[in-house]
Amino acid sequence: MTPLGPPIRVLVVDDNETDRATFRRLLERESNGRYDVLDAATAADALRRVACERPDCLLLDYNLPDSDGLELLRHLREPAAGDAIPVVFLTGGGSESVAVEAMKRGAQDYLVKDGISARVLAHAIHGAIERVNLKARLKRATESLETQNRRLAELYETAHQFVDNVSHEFRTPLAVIKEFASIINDGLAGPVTGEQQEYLNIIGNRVDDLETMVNDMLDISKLESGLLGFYRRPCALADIVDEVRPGLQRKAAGAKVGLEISVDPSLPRVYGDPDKIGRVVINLVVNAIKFSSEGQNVRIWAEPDPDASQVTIGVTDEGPGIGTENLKQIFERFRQLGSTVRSSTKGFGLGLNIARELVRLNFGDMNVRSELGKGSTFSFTLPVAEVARFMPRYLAHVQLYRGENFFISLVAVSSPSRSETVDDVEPFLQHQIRRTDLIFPVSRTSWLLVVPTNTRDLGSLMQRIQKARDEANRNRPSGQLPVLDMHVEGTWRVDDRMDEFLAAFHAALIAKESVRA
Amino acid sequence: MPDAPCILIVDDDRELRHGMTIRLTAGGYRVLTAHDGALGFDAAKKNRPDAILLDVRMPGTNGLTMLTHLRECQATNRIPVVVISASVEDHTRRQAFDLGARYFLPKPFRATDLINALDTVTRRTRPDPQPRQASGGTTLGPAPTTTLTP
Repeated sequence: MTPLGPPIRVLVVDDNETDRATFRRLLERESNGRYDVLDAATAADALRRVACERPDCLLLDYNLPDSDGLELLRHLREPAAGDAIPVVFLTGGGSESVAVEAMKRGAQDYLVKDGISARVLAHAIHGAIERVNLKARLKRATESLETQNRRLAELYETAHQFVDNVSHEFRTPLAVIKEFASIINDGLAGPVTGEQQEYLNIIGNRVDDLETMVNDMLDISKLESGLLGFYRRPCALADIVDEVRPGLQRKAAGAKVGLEISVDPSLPRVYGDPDKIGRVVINLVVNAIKFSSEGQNVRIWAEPDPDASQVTIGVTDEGPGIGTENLKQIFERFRQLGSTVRSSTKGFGLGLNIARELVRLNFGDMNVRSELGKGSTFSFTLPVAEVARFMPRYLAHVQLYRGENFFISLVAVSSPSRSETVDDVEPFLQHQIRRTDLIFPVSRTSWLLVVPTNTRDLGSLMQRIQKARDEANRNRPSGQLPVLDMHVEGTWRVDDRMDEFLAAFHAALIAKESVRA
Repeated sequence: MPDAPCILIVDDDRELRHGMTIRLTAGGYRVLTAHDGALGFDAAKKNRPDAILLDVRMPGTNGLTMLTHLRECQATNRIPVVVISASVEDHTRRQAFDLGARYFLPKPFRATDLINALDTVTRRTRPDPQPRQASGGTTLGPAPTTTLTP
């Protein structure tokens, strides 16, 4: 026989004296003292004994003189009753509905009273105790995970706060250095020689480098803690490149590297966050300049794929190139290739890692082709700004971040009034949504949100937006944000209902548009 | 230059105030300075400058609080404000615009961006409804909603 622990204390609750005696006999006589049997004939007596003696398990009959077994079970399962006591419910033959109800109310098992054997009874009692124990362990494990998650989130927040403070503390002296270098350079403190101007430009360029490093640090920290907001919309690559051109030209001129830009304004528009796309171009070009020698050229180019589903943007240099064995590591953080790097190379080695993350979050892919001695080409793709092109990539992206099982919802937001501040609503909404959410303007006063969730419940999202609106309105001298109506147009499970979702999305866009017309 | 537009600089960094004063004086502006939000607000009420260059994080009264005071005061609520800040977080930027700031220049800024922003807010008869994005990655914000109906 296996060694025994302390006896299991079983409370038999039954109004029938003969039945109580039968259970006592089955448990005591046929189980070698493994059970201590207590009994109660009424609900009131049972509750008292549960409270005083905390039995390990209850055998609970339906018929009780002062109540019934289901009612007693309800009492036992109230939150105030404390830890759940395992319950095996007893029914007469032919009363399955009572048994089902007992299971719904939290019984662990049920037995039909007629002809119970000691073995079946013992099995039911042990099973019930085990189930309650498992549930308690699961609950503790869940709680501990939640606590750890909260701690991690706090840690992320603290880390980000630290980086934010460092960034702030760096920027102020940088501003002073930059200001005074340019004051001297512009001749505001007296005449400057050509040589002095050259040196001041060096100071200026190094200040820019430091600023880039601070920005990189802040971006990585924001990417890591999910704080980097995304504002994806249809945009023209030529405009984005124009935007970053002056800074890159200064940089190239400083390194005596040629910069050639061939981005056709007639390229199809792409879907993404233009600021982030610009950031990727900057990082790739800065990287290319860093690895170029004087007199070499760096070229920014863009071309559509033959099937017009995406546009590829590339940065090609004539630098030393990267060996095959190193191609995999270059996107890792804090990684710079030592052997081929010019001695003046500087930075944290975060630029390419950030670029790749930003491309991913714009639903594209980053590629690199390189040959030692012949230069490198870094390129990335962006989907063309057509729903049929970017929506499947978006869904694949969300799947990657959220796993297989998630829902996707369409939320219609509209402002019933055409107040002056209606144009502020979209930027406001942009700040409220998470980086996996999309926003589509439907008309000047209505928007469509695409929101992935783990549940079908969007109440908290809508509450959060309304609360943020109230908060913003407490302090808006430029006019109150209008009232926002929000309703969920539909929720779909992502694995199998995507056609329905896409159809509904199109319909919502078109329906709203016809209303406006 | 009695007719030169007057700019009030509010920043707690003495050397940056000095640098900006040199830059703005050379750019044809008269300059007043203050080193925190409370003094800045007093100076704004008393002198009614044509524009204010305002830092955000300052000991004592910070820039956003000063911006709130400026907006609540009849004498100052129409003075255009250019925020210059080393706090580049989105929420700071948004708060500044919500409080009616015209531009947000992250530190370190370029001298030309600073002068362009001030030229725009002081010299144009009617504010440009869509401030353009300045070059060099300086992000400018949405226009204030002081639209005039014809």
